[in-house]
Amino acid sequence: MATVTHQAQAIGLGSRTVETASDHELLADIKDGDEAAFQEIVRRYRNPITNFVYRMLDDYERSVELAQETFIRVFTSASRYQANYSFSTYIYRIATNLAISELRRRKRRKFVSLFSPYTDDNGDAVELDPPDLNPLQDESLINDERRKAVARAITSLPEKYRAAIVLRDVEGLSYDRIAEVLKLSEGTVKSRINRARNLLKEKLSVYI
Amino acid sequence: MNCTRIKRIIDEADRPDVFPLEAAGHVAGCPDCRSFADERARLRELTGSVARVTAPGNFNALLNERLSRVKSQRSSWLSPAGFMRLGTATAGLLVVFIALQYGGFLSTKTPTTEDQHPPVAGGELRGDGSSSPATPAPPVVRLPDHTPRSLPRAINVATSRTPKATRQDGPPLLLVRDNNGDRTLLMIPVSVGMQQQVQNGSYGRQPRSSDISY
Repeated sequence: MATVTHQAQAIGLGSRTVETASDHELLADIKDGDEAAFQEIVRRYRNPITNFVYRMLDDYERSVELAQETFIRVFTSASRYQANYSFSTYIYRIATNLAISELRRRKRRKFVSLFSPYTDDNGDAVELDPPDLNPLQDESLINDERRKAVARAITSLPEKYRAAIVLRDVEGLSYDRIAEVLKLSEGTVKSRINRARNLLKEKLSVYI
Repeated sequence: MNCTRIKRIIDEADRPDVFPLEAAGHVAGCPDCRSFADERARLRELTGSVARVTAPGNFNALLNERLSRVKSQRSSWLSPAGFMRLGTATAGLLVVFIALQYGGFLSTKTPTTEDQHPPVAGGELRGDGSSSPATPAPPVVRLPDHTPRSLPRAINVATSRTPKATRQDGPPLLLVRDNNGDRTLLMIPVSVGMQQQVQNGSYGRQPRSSDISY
């Protein structure tokens, strides 16, 4: 029945197609077992979610796995989904929880990064990244090195600041949506983003 | 507006180069706030410049493979075979539980006093461990389980003693309470005066001349 419905939608007989359907409409179709609606959701969000998790973990292989796990959870819990807020907030929340769980699991296993051998007073990893004072010759090399430095600086942030700054400055979410994703007040989100930027300013002072 | 508030507005602006009118006017005339705005704009440009990664080409194929595994796992528990596995596991646990109970591994009851010192047929134990065949065995009264724990003081004193056989020449009174909380009362009617002797500690010895008064 779902296949028939999808075929009808695909040839334009229905009121909409999966490509033009909103996220909420697609979720309603996924509840009914529509595989095509699920594939459309994956197509829309696979790159942002993979990028977001990658910025949280700095581990591409694991990021892809967790992005897939995010979509599996969307599929398996579609029947319990309630459209109280936007679907993107919902899926970012799942991805954030998975990424933070992964970070905490790594912390328990004491994964030691070569860039983070020290911890601060809060027990958070502090990046050891002495500035390279040698002049770089090529512009592309400079840009490449700068991007790597920024990525390392973001990865070295404490997880509570990292999630907020990535959602804001990398993914471009608004403060109120970040507050919904992280289940925090908007004031707390603003405070964390301000704190994260101050930390980044210290780490990236050579590039500012 | 003071600079602290202006800096907060700058930091929370949706775009790093667009501020509300009042903040823009302040920034134009305040070098410190202008420096802060430039710094924040540069920082946001830097963090936004990190390369975006994309999902690999086989993302959907890998996802569908994992999803089919999840579906099969979920459906396997709902299938008749899943119910069979659940029933088998439950039956196995039941058998193990019964076996443990039958073997006494789950019982917390310890051997009672009677188990440790079985009564000698045809008589009662003497203090030295020998039996007296002439004295008939006293009647055994088992208190029910719902007997209140707080017994009268005199009874508590008596029952707190370890199992003890009466002497041949003493009054045949024996109150037993074993360590497991099971109370066994061996009781033969005694006079009030004899109970007084028990409480005074004079029970069990030969009467002295000072005990006798006329």
